Amino acid sequence: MPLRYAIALLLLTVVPLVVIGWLGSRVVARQNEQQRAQLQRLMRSRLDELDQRFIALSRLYQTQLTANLSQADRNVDSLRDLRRQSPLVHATMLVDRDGRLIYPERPATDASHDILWHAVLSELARRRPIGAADDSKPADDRLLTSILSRKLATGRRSTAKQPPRQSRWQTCYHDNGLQLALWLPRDDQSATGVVLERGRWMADLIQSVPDSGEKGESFALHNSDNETIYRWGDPVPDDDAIRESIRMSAPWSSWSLSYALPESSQLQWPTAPWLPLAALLVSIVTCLSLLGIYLMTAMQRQMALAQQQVSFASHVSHELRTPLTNIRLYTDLARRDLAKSKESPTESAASKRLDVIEEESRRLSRIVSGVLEMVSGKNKLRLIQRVPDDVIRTTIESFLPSLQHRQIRTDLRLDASRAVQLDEDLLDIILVNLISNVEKYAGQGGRLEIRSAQTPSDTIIDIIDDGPGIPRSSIRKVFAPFQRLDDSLESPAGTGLGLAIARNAARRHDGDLVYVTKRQGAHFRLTLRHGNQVKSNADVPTFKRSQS
Amino acid sequence: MKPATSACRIFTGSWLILGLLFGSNLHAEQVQLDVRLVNPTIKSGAKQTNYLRVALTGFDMPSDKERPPVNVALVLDRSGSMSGEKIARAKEAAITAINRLSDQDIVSVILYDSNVEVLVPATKASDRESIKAAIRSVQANGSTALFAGVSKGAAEVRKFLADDQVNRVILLSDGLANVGPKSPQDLESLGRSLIKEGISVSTLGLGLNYNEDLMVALASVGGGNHAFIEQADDLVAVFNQEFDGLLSVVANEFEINIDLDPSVRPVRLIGSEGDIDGQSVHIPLAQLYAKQERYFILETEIDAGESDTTRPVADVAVKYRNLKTETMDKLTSHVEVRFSDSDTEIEKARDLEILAYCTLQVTTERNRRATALRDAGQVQEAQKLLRQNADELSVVRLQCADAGVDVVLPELSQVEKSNSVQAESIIDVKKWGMLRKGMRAMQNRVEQQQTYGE
Repeated sequence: MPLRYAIALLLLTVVPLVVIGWLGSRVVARQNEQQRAQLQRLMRSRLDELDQRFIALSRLYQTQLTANLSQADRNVDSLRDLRRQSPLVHATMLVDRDGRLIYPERPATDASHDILWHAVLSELARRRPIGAADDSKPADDRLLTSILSRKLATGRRSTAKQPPRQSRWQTCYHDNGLQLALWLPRDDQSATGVVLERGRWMADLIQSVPDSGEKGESFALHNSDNETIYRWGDPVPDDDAIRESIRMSAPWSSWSLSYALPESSQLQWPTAPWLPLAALLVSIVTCLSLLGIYLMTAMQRQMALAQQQVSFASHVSHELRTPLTNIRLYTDLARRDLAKSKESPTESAASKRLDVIEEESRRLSRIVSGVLEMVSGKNKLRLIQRVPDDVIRTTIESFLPSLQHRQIRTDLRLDASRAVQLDEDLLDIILVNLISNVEKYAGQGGRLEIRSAQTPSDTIIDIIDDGPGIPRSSIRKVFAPFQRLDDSLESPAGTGLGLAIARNAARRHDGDLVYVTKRQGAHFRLTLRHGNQVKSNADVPTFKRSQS
Repeated sequence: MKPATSACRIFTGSWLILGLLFGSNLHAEQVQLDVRLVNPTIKSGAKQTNYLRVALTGFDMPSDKERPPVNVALVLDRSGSMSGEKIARAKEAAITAINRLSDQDIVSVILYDSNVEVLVPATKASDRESIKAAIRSVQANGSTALFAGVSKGAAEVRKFLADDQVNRVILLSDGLANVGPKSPQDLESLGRSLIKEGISVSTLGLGLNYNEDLMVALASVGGGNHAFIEQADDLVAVFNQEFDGLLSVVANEFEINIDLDPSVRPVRLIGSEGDIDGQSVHIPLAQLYAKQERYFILETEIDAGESDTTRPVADVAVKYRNLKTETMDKLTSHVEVRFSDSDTEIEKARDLEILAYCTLQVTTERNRRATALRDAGQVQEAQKLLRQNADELSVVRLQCADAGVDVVLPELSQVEKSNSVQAESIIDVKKWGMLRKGMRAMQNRVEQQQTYGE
């Protein structure tokens, strides 16, 4: 295969492939991006859902502890009982308006742990939230009541008759981590507060999350140091997971919640478009390659065939010309021999026959020259002053015997009697081809009509028959070389070159040969231009040149 | 019920003495309260330290049928380290435990590795077969989310929390908590909260890789037992002992309050968790077993007094739920101190039995300190403390033997022996891991006056 065809084939397949691949990858990338974003949103919403549970838990704490603190008021004994009895309470505090811790007192023991705790409480008291409370109302949320102690849940609700004051969260770090304190401010700027039992609220957080996630999901609760406090759902290996995390709401705002999905679970949808795209690309490449190869080979075969036909025609023509020349030579010699001998009736009859032989061999020679001219190049025109009608008559005369044999009537309406510059051989070639077509295709008992007319610049010759004609769709094709409308075995013999040669000849004569659309039969119109003959080289006969 | 262990024998002994003191079985179905000072008579004219002991003794349940129902959560470690023999024994132990429960009891089974799974949600033990089948299916792998395991166990117990039953979480672990909160403080905090709800936590440490500090802390604040189980083979026996105790609880929901006279300053509770607030001391106690004596020692500082006068020291009030009679019972006691110039009189009045218990607790606290010193690499100092313990215990033991206070002798000699053995073995680095677990278990056993152990 020539290099340029290989390159063309490569381009034919590679270019669309690259374009489709690029577009496809962009689509997939965008889709991936969108799906990832969607997934991220989904994960976030799952986390927000969870966070709502924690918010509910903190509200529940707030409600209950506010009620407890309201009831205890500033009574130290009640505050102490609250600390001793409530599982949720690690310490209770009473602070005066200047932020001094009134209760609990500094411990009598010298246990450093207790002393440290007292210091922490004092610090909490000093920094307690003062001023307008935020908008977090103590919510009446009984959803999670079950996870709080029954002791707290029962009996103490009835006391919350006075208008509830708003409690405020406060956080600090002590004893390995976050500690939560809740303050109930009083009108005189003093306040009571509790420090929640850390182990307890951590256990409640654990208890308030669902027992398990959906398949493949993994949730985790992380503390301020990003250590995992609790993990639930299916374990997801760290290295191939998609993660999302959010900060938890107050009072656990330094903690976070995370959500993980295994990367492999994501493969099921966002990466999937690659598969059909890849399949599409592969099939397109295959189709284009096959098509390209098919076209390439078909074209090559066509070209080889045409080459063969042309070389065949030229071979045959050359092979024919030599014996023809010899025939003409010996005809000439025979005539001279005849002239030397005495005149007799047989002599004149023989002379007449020799005339026919000469005439026919000349004609055959012209046809061969036409073919050679068609396939091998362009000889110059041999223009002489001739009457077109004479040429037509001479040509039709040679066809008469076979036309009569086929019962084809000839109808000549000739009106081109003015002598013009023309190449008799070329015109003869054109007419021979057209008339032999009529002879071949018009069929038994048909009619051949030849008309001629002249304008100052043109001679127009129409060859009309009432045979089957040419279908409209094939008109363009008939002039192409080696085109035969009916290529079946039963069709008349021929090379498919006749009309091509005829048109070629007409155009060389500065004219044209066209097919005139007609309802019945075929109608060819030959136009010969003889106004300004440019291609004038009348003295050089085609034969002689070819022969020499 | 079988009073199999030495500890139990001591308590049985003291129960008999109390029985003699009261002279009758009039209070046979009530918890006995005994409040005494080490030195009922003290030197006049100076501020002095004195130890107050508050002791409670459970009565005997007439028959097994009347025992209160239990609500127990078995929290089993199924992390990777438990695989093989350990998980097999643990399953066997759990199944044995399930077999001992009656239809009225409530049980739940929680498994934890890196996640927590509620294998059997709290349910009546009547459907034993399906519970046991679930336990048999357990396989071990993963990490150790101990805190979450206990949390979930407590949550299961909480579902059917009732005053008239014994609420208990039993935690079995053989490894270090490595997922979730893992500091003793956090576990203590959880245990402290649970005990306020009436849920006690027992911890069973299996093998040599668990964190005994964490397990002991959880059990001691959680009002439960702790056991160090060296061999998986012993698991079933320890579970049985735990259930012996669990199934013999006669009273719970204790509120023990000591109100001290203004002239008496509470210094600290020795060997037990409590809440000292001004002149008021509150001691949490989850439950009392049949015939178990449980005591608490409060170190006090008494202001100077004049010779031949008496002064009130403390009023003790105990409220509890009697699980036999299903009533809230109340006990009160009052203790006074006498001031004297005479040393002989003071010496003579000294309560050697109380002294023995105080010494046990004080030496145990020292034993704890020795453990910490050994941890810090101060082997000599630790050894010195342990030897001092052995010596002090030996002195007290001899004193008690002379005075005929025999009831405390076995415990004294056992702890004395342990201390002297520890003093010698503590140098050996290879044995330290195991010895430490033994020491921590002993400390907890003495402090909690556990009904089973070594």
